[in-house]
Amino acid sequence: METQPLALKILNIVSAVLLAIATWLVFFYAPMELVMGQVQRIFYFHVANAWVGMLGFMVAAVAGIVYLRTHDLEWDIIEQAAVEISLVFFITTIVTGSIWAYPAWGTWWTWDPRLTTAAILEMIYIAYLLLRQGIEDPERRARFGAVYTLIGGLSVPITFLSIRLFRTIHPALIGTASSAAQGGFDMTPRMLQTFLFGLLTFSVIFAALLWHRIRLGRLAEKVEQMKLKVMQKYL
Amino acid sequence: MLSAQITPDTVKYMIAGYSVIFSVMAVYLVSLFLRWRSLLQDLQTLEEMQEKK
Repeated sequence: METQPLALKILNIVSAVLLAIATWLVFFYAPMELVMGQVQRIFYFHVANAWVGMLGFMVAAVAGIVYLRTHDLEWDIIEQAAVEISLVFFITTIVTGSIWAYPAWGTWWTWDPRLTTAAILEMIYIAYLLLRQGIEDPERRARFGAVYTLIGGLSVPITFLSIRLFRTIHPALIGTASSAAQGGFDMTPRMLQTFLFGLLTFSVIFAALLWHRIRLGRLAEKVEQMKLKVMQKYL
Repeated sequence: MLSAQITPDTVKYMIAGYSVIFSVMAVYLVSLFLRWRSLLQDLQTLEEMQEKK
């Protein structure tokens, strides 16, 4: 358990190489957008972070469903791992969005439908991690987590669709943006290639991190089991 | 008469954005590593305690 499998080592290297290439594409390959200037480059990693954030929350919901069907605690470990990683990527999405918003919209934050649903989404999953800690019985904790991520998962499509369903100033990349949208732009072929490469890169990074976090969860489980054994011996 | 559009200087926001992205990723990687190391130490201690008994 202590040494990483070869496939994970390869995934680590591939992730690092892809990240280096994606960064190079962002700064040296994609052209500068003339209306917003250099700050537009945030868009490439901002959207990629949002994508893996939402992907992870959906992975957690699926893991929750599988746990409810199988009662195998391995799925609880996967679910928790996916939520934790997604929270990290999603908080980055919110912060980078805010940094982009200041020069684009003239404000760091506004209670726009997209920003509001994104903030609620983040808080739902922060609460998930906090509430889990209050449950000692592993099976009850896993059952709670599974139901929670299943219901919480509903907020993912709501957040994704918010810029298409409501009047919002947030620009939309796919589909038609709201008439009130500000800060949108037409992508040139180089911008599109950089954007798609960013999505691929962060998907691979997500897979690598998920694997690492699952291994950590398994090790934590092993330590818990060992603690119980030792306590039984000493009592 | 057409006036040329001037691209605003927003480079400091771009630097701030990418600093956040790379810093958060780095902190998370370090946190994974530290938690892993701490659990391994716990496991080692527990194994030693079990062997002694």
